[in-house]
Amino acid sequence: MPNGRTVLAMFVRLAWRNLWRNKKRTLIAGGSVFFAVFLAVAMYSMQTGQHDFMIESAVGMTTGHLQIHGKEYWEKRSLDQSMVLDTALLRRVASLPHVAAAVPRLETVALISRGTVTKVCPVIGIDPPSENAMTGIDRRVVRGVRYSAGGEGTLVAEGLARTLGVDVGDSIVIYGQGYQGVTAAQVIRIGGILHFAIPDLNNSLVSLRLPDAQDLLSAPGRITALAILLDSDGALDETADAIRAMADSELEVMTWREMMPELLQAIAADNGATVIMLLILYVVIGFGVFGTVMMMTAERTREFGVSIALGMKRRHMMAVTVIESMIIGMLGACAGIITSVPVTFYFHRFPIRLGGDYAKAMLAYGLEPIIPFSVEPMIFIGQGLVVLAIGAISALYPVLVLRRLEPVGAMRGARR
Amino acid sequence: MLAAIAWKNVWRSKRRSGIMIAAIAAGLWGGVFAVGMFTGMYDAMVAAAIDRNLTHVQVHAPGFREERLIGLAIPNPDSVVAAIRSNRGVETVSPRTVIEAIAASPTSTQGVSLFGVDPGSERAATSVSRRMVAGSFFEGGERTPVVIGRKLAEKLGVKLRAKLVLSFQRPDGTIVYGAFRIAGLFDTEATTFDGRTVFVRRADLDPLVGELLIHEIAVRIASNDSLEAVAGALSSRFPALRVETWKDLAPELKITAESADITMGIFLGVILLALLFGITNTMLMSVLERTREFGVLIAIGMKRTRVFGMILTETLFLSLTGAVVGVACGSATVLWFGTRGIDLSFFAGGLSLYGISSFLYPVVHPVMYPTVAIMVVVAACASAVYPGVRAVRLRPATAIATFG
Repeated sequence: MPNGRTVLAMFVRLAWRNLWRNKKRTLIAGGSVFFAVFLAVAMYSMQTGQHDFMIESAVGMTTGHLQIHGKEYWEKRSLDQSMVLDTALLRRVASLPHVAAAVPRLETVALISRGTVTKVCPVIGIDPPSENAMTGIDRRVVRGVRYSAGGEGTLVAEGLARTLGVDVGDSIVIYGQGYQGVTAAQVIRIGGILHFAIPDLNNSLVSLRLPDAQDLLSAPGRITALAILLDSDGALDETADAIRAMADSELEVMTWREMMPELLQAIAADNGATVIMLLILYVVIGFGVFGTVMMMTAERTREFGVSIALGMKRRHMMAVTVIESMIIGMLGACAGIITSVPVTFYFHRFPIRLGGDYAKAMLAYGLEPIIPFSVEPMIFIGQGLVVLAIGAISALYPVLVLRRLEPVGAMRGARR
Repeated sequence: MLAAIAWKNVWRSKRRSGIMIAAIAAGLWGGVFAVGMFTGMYDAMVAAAIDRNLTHVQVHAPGFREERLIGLAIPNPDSVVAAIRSNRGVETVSPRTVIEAIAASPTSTQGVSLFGVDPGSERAATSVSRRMVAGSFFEGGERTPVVIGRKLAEKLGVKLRAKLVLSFQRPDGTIVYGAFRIAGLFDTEATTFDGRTVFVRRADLDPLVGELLIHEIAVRIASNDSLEAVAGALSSRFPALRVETWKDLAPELKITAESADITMGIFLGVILLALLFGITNTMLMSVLERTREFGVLIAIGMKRTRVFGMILTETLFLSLTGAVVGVACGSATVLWFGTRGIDLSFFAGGLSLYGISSFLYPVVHPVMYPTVAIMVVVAACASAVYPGVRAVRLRPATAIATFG
């Protein structure tokens, strides 16, 4: 009696030979697994890529991945919760491995007027070089001098300028409350006009150089937030912890997840929908794979009958079919993953570009109208495993058939 | 004749046909369900936005939406409101004074959108009054009550019954201050709205403004289907005013709708591909299995085109049966979940954390059923072409000699 190892080796050899005895059948079955893996990977990669893109665009346009604030600033948004800009901390944050930009901002709400027209507007003091690295504010300057070209003055959003009836070179009055309740009032000359796609911003934003804003609001050396842009969202928690460790306890470190719960909700809802869509896809794929396995089994009923009649143990026959299914599944899944890698990488590098009104609307919001794919390794492995599991369940079918197989009837070609 | 043979063939091998029908039904079920999910998600989002503050149609003076200046009010508002009310299809009308104002608490100052409303009309037109988490929407007997979002209350650091000073610029350019007492807090699922919206009674606001100014007339209509008709009627009646539907007012909703459409299209494509491949495989196996049968048919003189036609007809029968089963299952699933809802937080952690409605109610507009069914039937027939060609190319002698 040969030992277990050689028996297994024999089964594998038998299974291998069975597979290549009928190449066409094997290719069809392997093809169904291949196609299933490919579709599942493509689908999931597209969804994940879209989410990453949503996060990246939203974060890059507004809050950054992380922000450091004075305690309670985020809830109260008052200058009294501002913090001192600690240049040593700024330098240390900027030198952290995944940090792409660290952007200090001093933000408040003030009255902007010209003549008898007054509007309530957000006024924000920025540091042009780092702000440019993150939100690219210079690209939004439609008239006047950009900061990078030596612009010194105040930038006013297009819609606000139109409402006030002002343009580059005119003066406006800023009136509001500064740090610790000091009145802030100043006449400022407009250095440039900004265009934003988001109507709220385009109708209201006023931006100053940080030192000018600090002067105006009697908050020398103070900022309300240090926004931090990372090179990848994957490093979010790790970087947040590192910053928490270096910042003193009077400051709070928030991630975009806390600052933009709407975005998180949107993504979570979409993720839920994605899971349901994948489940639907698995059902459809499952029927395809199962159908193939069933046909294969039906076709081989006579062969099974002969083998058993000749004295092959049912157990052994079952083992051989299971090994066959495993080989087909593995080959199909590997081929599917190997094929999907270049395809997803291609669409990751050169995303699908959308056209038509939708693209125009997205562009108007400052979003690129693209559908990028994600190439997160877990997508390939995860989807491959799921399809293999579907294959494994389908592989139970020949085992069940073998258990109840009637050799004589099977050889005669009787079909149940 | 061919159809009769094909129909008999379908039921000759019940198991094989069963699996094919099941595969097609599964594809169709998936398609219907996916369409239902996307439609449901979008419908819910639109309904929430319309109920919150948007309403179906809004009327403004030209330029108000861009500049939001207090002087850009609707001339003769009373007659305009009365005329809109008498319009067919209009359910409720809420005239609003809309002012960009500053809200000041003892600890903080915030820019806000101040809505002066008639509580009765506003209650009928929007859902804010049903989203109160503290106090009520102008039902108590307070003097100069104000209702604000919970989020704004947090920013201002104030609680119910606290005093709030609202200041804004009058049309003549002077700044006016008014003291109000917080009578209610609301919490809708829109953080931005909750963070900058303030409601007061117009009866309290008008004396501060000094005159009756209506900037916005929010119109709720009986059914979204008559949206364009009502908007068209109103805009031809008031050519000097700007009449806009929620589609113009909230372009981001339209963007979301189109993005959902694109994703849905891609997903349906993927499902069809998966189905196409599954059916091709099964049909190919079935043709291989029936090699001898086709060999005999060709040998006794059946024309190859007729053999091909027979295979296609079989597939057509299979896919039609599958389509009926699939549409039945799909609509049953959509109906089941449409009333009970799917809890998305079950699939995506973190969703319920923020207390928003994480339930998705699938809806399928009736026109989608035939569309999806036709797509699936066409896909099924397309996938029978290659197996059919294989069968037709058989050489009868070899085919008959084959096992099986």
